This record gives sequence, structure tokens and C-alpha cells, in this order.
Amino acid sequence: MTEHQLPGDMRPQDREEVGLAAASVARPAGAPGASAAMVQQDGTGAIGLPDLALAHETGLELEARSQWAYARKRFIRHRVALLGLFVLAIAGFVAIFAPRIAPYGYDEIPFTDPVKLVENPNLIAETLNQGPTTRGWHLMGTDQLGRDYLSRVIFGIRTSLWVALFVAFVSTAIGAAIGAIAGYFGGWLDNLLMRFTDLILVLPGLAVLLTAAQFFGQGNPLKIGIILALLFWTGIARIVRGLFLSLREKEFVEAAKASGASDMRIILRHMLPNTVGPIVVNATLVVAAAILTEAALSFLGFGIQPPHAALGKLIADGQQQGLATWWLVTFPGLVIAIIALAVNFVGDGLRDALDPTQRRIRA
Amino acid sequence: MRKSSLLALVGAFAVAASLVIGPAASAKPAKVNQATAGTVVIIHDQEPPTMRGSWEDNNLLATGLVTNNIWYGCEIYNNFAKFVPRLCAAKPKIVKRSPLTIRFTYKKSAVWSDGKPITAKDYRATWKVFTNPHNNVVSRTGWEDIRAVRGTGKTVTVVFKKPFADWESYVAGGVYPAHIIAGKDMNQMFQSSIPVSSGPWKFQSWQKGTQITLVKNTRFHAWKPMRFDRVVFRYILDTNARFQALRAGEGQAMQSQPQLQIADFLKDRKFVVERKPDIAYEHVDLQFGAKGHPALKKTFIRRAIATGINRQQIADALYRTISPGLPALNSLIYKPFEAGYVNYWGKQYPFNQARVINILKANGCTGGPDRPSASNNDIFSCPSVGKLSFRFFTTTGNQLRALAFEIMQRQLKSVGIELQARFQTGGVLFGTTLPSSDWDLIMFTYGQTPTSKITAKDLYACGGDQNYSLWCNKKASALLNKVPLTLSAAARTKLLHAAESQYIVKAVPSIPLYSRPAFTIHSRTLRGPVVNPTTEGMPWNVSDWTS
Amino acid sequence: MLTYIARRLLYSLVVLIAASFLVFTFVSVSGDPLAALRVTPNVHPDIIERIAERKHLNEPIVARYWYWVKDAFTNKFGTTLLGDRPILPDLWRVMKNTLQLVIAAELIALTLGIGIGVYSALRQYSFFDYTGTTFSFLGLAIPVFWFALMLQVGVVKIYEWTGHRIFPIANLSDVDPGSGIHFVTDRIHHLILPVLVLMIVNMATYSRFMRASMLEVLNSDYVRTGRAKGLPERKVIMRHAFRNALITIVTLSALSWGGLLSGAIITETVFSLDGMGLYFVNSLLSNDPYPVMAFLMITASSIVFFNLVADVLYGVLDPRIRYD
Repeated sequence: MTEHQLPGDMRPQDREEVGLAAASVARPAGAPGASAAMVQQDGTGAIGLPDLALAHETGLELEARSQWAYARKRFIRHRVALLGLFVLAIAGFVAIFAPRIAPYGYDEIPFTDPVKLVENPNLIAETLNQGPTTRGWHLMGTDQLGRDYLSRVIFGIRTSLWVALFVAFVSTAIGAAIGAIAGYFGGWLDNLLMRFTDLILVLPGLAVLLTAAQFFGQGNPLKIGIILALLFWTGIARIVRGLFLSLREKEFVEAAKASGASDMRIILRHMLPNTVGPIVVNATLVVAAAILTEAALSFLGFGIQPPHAALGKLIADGQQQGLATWWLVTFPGLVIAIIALAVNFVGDGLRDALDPTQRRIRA
Repeated sequence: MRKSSLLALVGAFAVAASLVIGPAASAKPAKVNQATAGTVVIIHDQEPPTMRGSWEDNNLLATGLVTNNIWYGCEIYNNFAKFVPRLCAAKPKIVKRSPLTIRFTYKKSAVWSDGKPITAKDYRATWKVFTNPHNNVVSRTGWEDIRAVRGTGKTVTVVFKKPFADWESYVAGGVYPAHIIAGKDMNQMFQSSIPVSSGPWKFQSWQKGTQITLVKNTRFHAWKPMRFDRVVFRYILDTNARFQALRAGEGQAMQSQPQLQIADFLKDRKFVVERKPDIAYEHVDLQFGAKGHPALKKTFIRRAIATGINRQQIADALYRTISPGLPALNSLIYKPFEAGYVNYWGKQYPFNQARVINILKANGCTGGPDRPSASNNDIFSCPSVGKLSFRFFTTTGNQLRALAFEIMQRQLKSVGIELQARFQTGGVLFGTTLPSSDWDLIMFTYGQTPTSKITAKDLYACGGDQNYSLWCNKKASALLNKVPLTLSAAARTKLLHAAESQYIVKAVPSIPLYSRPAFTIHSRTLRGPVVNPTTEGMPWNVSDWTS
Repeated sequence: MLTYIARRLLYSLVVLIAASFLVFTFVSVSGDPLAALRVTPNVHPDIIERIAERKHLNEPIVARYWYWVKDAFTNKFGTTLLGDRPILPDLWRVMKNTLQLVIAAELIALTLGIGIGVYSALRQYSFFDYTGTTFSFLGLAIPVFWFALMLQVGVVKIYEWTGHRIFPIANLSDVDPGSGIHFVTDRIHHLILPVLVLMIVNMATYSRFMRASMLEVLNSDYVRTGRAKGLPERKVIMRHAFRNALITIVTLSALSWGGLLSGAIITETVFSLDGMGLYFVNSLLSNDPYPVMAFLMITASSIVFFNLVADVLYGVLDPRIRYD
């Protein structure tokens, strides 16, 4: 049972050892949406039992090239996923070009501007907490200090997406590395790494964040991103490990070994490409989870601090004024929901596209 | 699963749900914010850790709200922060100046709820509790300055070791029942309950995490008895939930710190919002020590900062919806509603951005803007101290404070001074950062009592217990150190005025922002609650409440 | 199997010890528990020093950790740092409250999730399926604290219009909850909104997963065989498809149970429920290590235990798995 939006306390309650390896042999096909669901429950990578089934049967390596083309075609036919991708592209565009797009700066407080104040001494009464209006292009209204909310939301998208992508990237990298090593070598190394994973799983995220804040400074998006990444990698590690445990037994790996390839080469060139599917899918879901986690942290007072603006912080702040200023909560909330939905749809689409046994892929 | 099974499941769920909701809902007919049959519910945020009160784990306010009407005092603070007699027949008097001797008499009608009379024995026992080194009390100040307590009956004579200006606070307070605490380990007493009471209500039960129930003390005749039969404190930690609960009639009254949600209640006719300046005030301290920014050791820079902050604008922007017209605070020692209040800071440092730039330039600083401008990004650098970029510390989780910081940041940026945000949790800020003096500027609220000015030395004298700014001015310290030993209020005022006007204002160890407003919100059907800015809080006049 | 379990338990013990040391260090260095005293007027530095001495705050971390270990075993998790209040009675109380909340939410989420998931799978791409999908995804995309606040606001609005408060919006019980059956119904009444909030996320997850699992099974060879053999559709679904699809849900749920105790922090905060999450956050913010450690020991044990249960269950339920 989790609220899935805080690290640690809802991190992946993942599968273990032999169960995973066996599952990959036993289960015939990946279950579309399955891992997506599990990932979402915990925020990042999770049980992944059906994922393992994505470890296809032998001969996959030869089919690799046509596999991707095939997958791309299937993805495009999945209309909802395409929509999600489109939305994410817009969000990415907004994030990258935020300073150009935003009509105002995100921290411009009109009534502190000495020039403006001379023209209009009544600025405080007139600019604070205004609802959405076309006057002055305050399409999302203004906030408690009269700052343009549309700009705040735009910069908020930038910060939140940045943090989320950073967390997804770093946690995937760490998780895949650890999972690959554990799964490939097995034995005591596997055991050690999995116990280490357990340890991270068991730590309460809030305690870690509090300590990190004390030592590394509070509220900096980069630092929050690092901490979250260090807590989110466990799910991917489990999945990759399970996949490697099963892949290890496959003939093409034996063949590579027999021909004298080094361990590193086998892992990187032969085995990892076969796990890209589940890894990518899980990574997309980490993005969604990270955004929601940041919101939850801001609500509890642990997250990003002023002057940075992030979507979760905007909601947490706006919530304090009650319902009269509904736009302060609604707009960032909508944006979060839309982005999270889009990410989930894309992940779902990727899942469907990369699973060759899903027969009824009606778009 | 067959369709029918699924529908059956959903149906069963709906039936179960309605079984629960139905009777429960109908069991609550129109509870239109009305106190029910003699019970009034007060909503508060934090519950007390124990019923003991002045112990090291104390939460003064949370515990006091419950126990101030149980351990009833000879006097209590009224809503103008003046002592008024309750269990005492008359105000305590000074009978001898040296050694300082005070005498007061409990009323004949002052008895414990178990029938025993309240006497000097109780006061003496209380004094022993606070001076016993085994007891983990949070403060022995005042109690350890008492040399002797004489008397066995209703009249108490207290002899102090030296002239002690704040004597009334330690004479007027509530006392423990000697006959109950005799021979007991006070560190374990009153953990979760209190068996007797000397005030309008007595303790009945405590559901930890939810509520504390108090009932009318029928043996209380020393003052007006309560009209309600029962007072219940409900504890709701989340700010939004607290206000929602008040709206939904889950409580009838609440006292609150400034919160933006209060604005909704001002507009609502079903509620009455009372507002009064609190004794607590918001301020920004500057660091003089070695770990602070070297620029802060220069007086002209400190004065520039004071001139560059528009305090009135901050008060306006933040409080216009809940406390319109809130003035900036212009004295570090007196509050606007107090007799000794003089406007020092407003006169000395009126907001003037051009002046800031002139001061800095005149002292050789370069690199900053020529004119104040909202789009300025240039920061001044001053000879031998470097760039004027200061670390500004404050607590997380307080939106008004965060907003105040952001306004200040913009105001100072317009004139070429930079503030870097450093938000920390209370545990870190007050536990590590503040005492280590490893900060440049820091903003927080001092919790104060009406007599805190007597111990202003703790904050501003050399080596003061809470002087974390490390400001040290010998002459000012001499004046401030004399205050706790001066018995005459008029003489104390002169000393404090001299200290502030001649030294503190000129040196700027701290900048006062504004006096925080204190609020009381209650349903219109409940009459009586008013704001009491002291630790007595809203229930100080619960005997006057009616519905 | 037994050796496997024994080995896992042993490793879990090591993990628990390591976690306990780590968290103790985190909490001890991340802030000063005496912070509030330093800004309370009239508190002499001597008093603060005395407390620090009494509680060994000036000693090195390892020594302080050792004191905790001793206290935990000999004194039932010890006492709070300030005020020496015993921890176990409070912990027990909040644990009971949280368990009521999370178990109810988990059971309802499971039931509804499985039901909706199966039905969606049977009627794939139908209106019901798409609606279910959308709601599932919504449930996973909305910030929990915002949803909780909206529920509260909704209840207040209804109260203002009709004068009836259909649900309480905070705390665990009424001012006068009564006793016996009245107490129980009152408690249920107070838990409805929090359960709703908690349940949404997991129900979405279970329904998605159940749907996917069912789909996979329905398309599999042995189901096709069953149909080809002429078995009635109902039997095919109930006896073969459903049961097999359930296996992975069971293990998924078992893992979820491990995280139950620590998973309701936001819900408890918003609804002011006297539960473990709130207890943990308050202790953490006061930088008081002992209650945090007690919380950790219980939740960590729960997590590792249920991880093991899930593994064993999976091995038991799926006859193709064997443990060495």
C-alpha cells in the first residue's frame, strides 16, 4: 500500500532472485501494461515479472534491427501513445525555450519595481492575486506577490521536467549497471548487490532527504534530483537483474563466451540491447513518478525552495490560500496531471510496441 | 469473472457504504456551527507532549492553552497583556525593597477541586519543584532568585535574593498542589492527566492524537465559573484541514497565527474574526562574528541594508487580505500597543533606494547600479570586504516568511545587494545554524512574553544567552544589564530607550520588520472569545463564553 | 525451501542492522533536537548542556548508536529524547490506527482493482475498458495531497449548502464517539475519506495489472486448448485464466503489504490521523532519533518479511518454479 508519491516509503517492493529468473522462463509473453502498472504503484520500476517475459527467446540478436522498425510501426499505430508523445514534445519545447516563451520573468514582482511604483502607487492592491485575464497577458492570473502565473508555470515545467529527466536518467543508469552486474555474475556478487538494494529500499526517503538537505543545502533542484535518483534506482536494478539472469542461460551468450568475448563486451553488446525495452519503459515511468514525488515533497516542506519554481511547489503554496484563488492550484495541477498522463501513455505504448506477442494491437 | 459477479460486488460495496453513511449522516442534523448542549470545541494545531508544562519537552503554547485554566494563577494576563487578579484578593505588593519582599494573599474561596484550600504551602512546593536540580524543568530563571517563601496559610511572603524586576511573573503564576506532589518524582508526574484543578475547568480525558476533554470545575468559586459544561480541544495538524474543519462545524473556535486562509473567514458572515498585534515580532538579524560576511562588520553597509528594505511594503503585500493596515515595527524592544513605544527605526532608516546607492558609492563601493532598477543584475563590491552577496537563512514551510524573503530579495537586488536563499528546517536552523553564528542574515520570530523586554540583555548585551549576532557594545550592555535589577517601571523604560536610541538603532544588530498579528476565529453563535496575545491565549476568559 | 528461507532471514538481519545504523546516523546528524530550546527565552545554556550530557549528545555517533541498541532491547525502544516519554505505548497506539486505515484501503483496492481489471480484460477495447483505463491513469497522475484537499473542500461545500456533514474531514473519532458498536461505526465513518484517497492509487495499479495479466492469459495456448476442447467459457475463465492471472497479483500484493505501515504519510498528514506516518514525520522534524528508529525497525522488518513472503508465495503458487 503506497501513496506512490514519496520516495522510499513507497519505493519498489520488488521481486527477488530465483522467482524472477524462473518467471522469465515460465511466462510466455509480456503483459502489456503490467509493468507499467506496477511501476506506477511504487513510483519506479517494480515487480516486472511480466517484463521478464520480454526477454525473448533465442535468435533475438539477429532480429534486432528489424525488431526496432517493427516496434516503431506498432508504436505509431497506438494512437493514445502518440498523443502522449506529442504532449511531451510540447512540454519539452516549453521547458527548453522557457525564457523566450514566458511573457515575464518568474520572479518579477511588479510592486517592488521603483519605476512602476511611481506610475501607479496602488500596485499592491491591483496586481496581487488576480484571476486569469487577457489584460497584460496574465492568462493564468497572478500569484500572492503579483507575479505572472503563466510564467511561473512555464518555468515550473522547466524545473520539474529537468529534475524528472535527471532522476530518470541517473537512476536508470545506476540501476541498469547494478542489475547487469548482479545478474550476469551471479553468486556472491549478486547476493551482495541485492542485499544492498534491500538496504536502500528499506531506508525512509524523508530521513535521507532531511540529512541531505542539512549537508548539501536545501532546495536546489540538482541536489534534490541526485538524492531522488539515488533512491529510485532499485526497481530498474531488479528488473535488469532478472532479465540478465535469464539471458545468461541463452545460447547466444554461451556462443559469445565461447568465442572469447570479454565479460564487459558480452554485457554491453549482447545482453544489454535485449533489455532496452523494459529499461526504457521503466525510465519513462520514473519521470512521472519523479514529478509527483517532487510535488509531495514540496507539500511536506522538503522539496524545492524559493526562488526556484517547480510545479509541485506552486501547488503546495497555492493551496494555502484556500479556494478563492483557485487558479493557483488548478493550472499547475492540470499541467502535472497532463504530463504524468502523457508519460504513462507513452510508456504503455512502448510496452505494447516492444512486445511481439501482443496480438490485438488495435490503435 | 462474470458480469453478474462483478455487479454483485459493486452492489455489495454500495450497500455497505450506505449502511455506514446513512445512519451516521442522519445522526448529525443541522449542526450549524452551534456549540452543542454545553460543549464548546476549540481547534488547535499541536497537542501538548505531556500535561506537565514547564518541562524540557515543553510546548509552551499548546500546553498552556489546556493547563492555564487548571493551574490557575494568583493573577493572569488579560487581553491587554496586563496582570489582573484571579485567585488573589488583590495584586501582589512590594512590602520591602531590599531585600525585595513581595506579599500576596489567596482568596478564601480559592480551593482545589478536591476540596483542599490553596495556601502558601502550594507556592512553596512549586518553588521547590523549579529549584530542584533533579527536575528537568526548562528554565529556573526567577525561581532560583528567590531566597525564601514564608507562610502556611493564605498569605504568602516571598523574599528575593536581589532586586528582580520581573518578580510579578514568578509570583502570579499557577501553583502545583503540595498535597499531591509530596514525595513524588516530578519528572514522571502529570504525564497524561491532572487529578485536580484550581481553575474554571478540570481535566477529564485525553485521546492522544485527537482531543483533550475538560469539564467544568464545580468547586471553582474564586472567580466567575464557566457557563459551558465541557471544553474539548481538537488537534488538527494540517493547516488547510484545520480551517476546513472549522468551516465544517467540527469546532467552534480557533486561535491562529497569520495564515492566508484567514481571508476566507473575513468575508464569511457565519464567522467572527478578531485581530490584535501579537507580542511576537518578525525581524532580521545581522551577524557580527567571524563566520559572518566581513561586509557586515561595516556600519555603513548595515545601515544601507536597513535603508534598502521597504518594511511597510512587505507588511502591506503579505497581510492586506488578513490584516489590512498592519504597520511596520519601529522598535526592537517595545510593541506598537505599549506605552513606551517610540518610532526609532522608521525615522532613522526610511525606505530610500537612491540613498542606499549613495551611501555605498560614497564609501568606495563599485560595480553596482547607478540608479535603482528592477532589472538590475549588478552587485556592489566594497573595498576590503568583497561582493555584497549575503547568505539569508530562514525556516522552511512558512509561506508568509518565504514570500517576505522574496520581496526583500527583489528590493535589495534593485540597489545592487544580493541575498542568497538558505531555507532550513527549524531543527537545523535553531539547533545548529543560529547558535553557531555561521550565517550572514537570519529571519525568524522571537517568542516573547510581555516582560521579555526586561531581559533584553539576553539578546543584545555582550555575551547574552541568546545573542547569536555576537554584537557587543559595552555601553549598551551596561544599560541593558541594569534593567532586570531595576524595580521601577519608569526607570526601566528610560534605560531601554537610552539603549535603543543611542546604540542599537545606530549599530543595526537587527532590523525589526513587523509585529505579527494574532487571530481568533469563532462561529458567530459563540460569544466571548477575544484575542489574548500572551501565552494565556484565547481561553483566558472562557468563563465569559456563551452560545 | 527451508534452507532458502533461513538464508534469506539471516541476510535480512544484516540488512536491518545496516539500515538501523545508517538511519540513526542520518537522524542524529541532520539537526539538533535541542533547537527549540535555544530560542526559548529564559533558557540558560546550562540547562541545554545538562540535557546534552544526560542524553550523550556530545559523544561520537557509534557510542550513541550503541546506547540506542541497548535501550531498544532492555527498555522497549527507549524513551523520547526530551521529556523521557516511553515510546512503545505511543508506537503501539499509532500502529493500530494506521493498520486500520491501510488494511481497509488495501483490501478494497484489491477487490475493486481485480474486479475492474478482469472485466476490462474480458471486454477489451470496450467503453468500460477505455473508461477504466483513463480513470486508472488519472488515479496515478494526480497529486495525493491535492486530491485529499479537494475531497475535504467538497465535503465542506456540501455542508454549507445542506447543513449536513456527510463525512468528517479530520481526526479519527468524534468528540463523543460512544463505545462498542457506535465507536466502530464512528471510526469507519472517519476513515472513509482517507481510505478513498489511499485506495485510488493502488486500485488503479491493480486494475491495470490484472487487466494485462488476464489478457496475456486469455491469449495463451492452454486457454485456447480449453476452448477448443469445448469447455464452457465460464469454466475456462474462472478455473484457468483467472487463477493463473491471479498468481502475480498475489505476489504483487504481498509486496505491497510490506510497505503498508509506512505508506500513508501524506494521507495521515492531511486528515490529521494519529498514525505511524504522522508520528514518523513529527519525530523526524524534531530530530529525535529514538522514535524514528522504532518506526524504522518495524517498517523495515515488515518490508523484508513480506518480500520473503512474496518470493515464497510465488514459488508455491507457480509449480514451474523451484528454489535451490
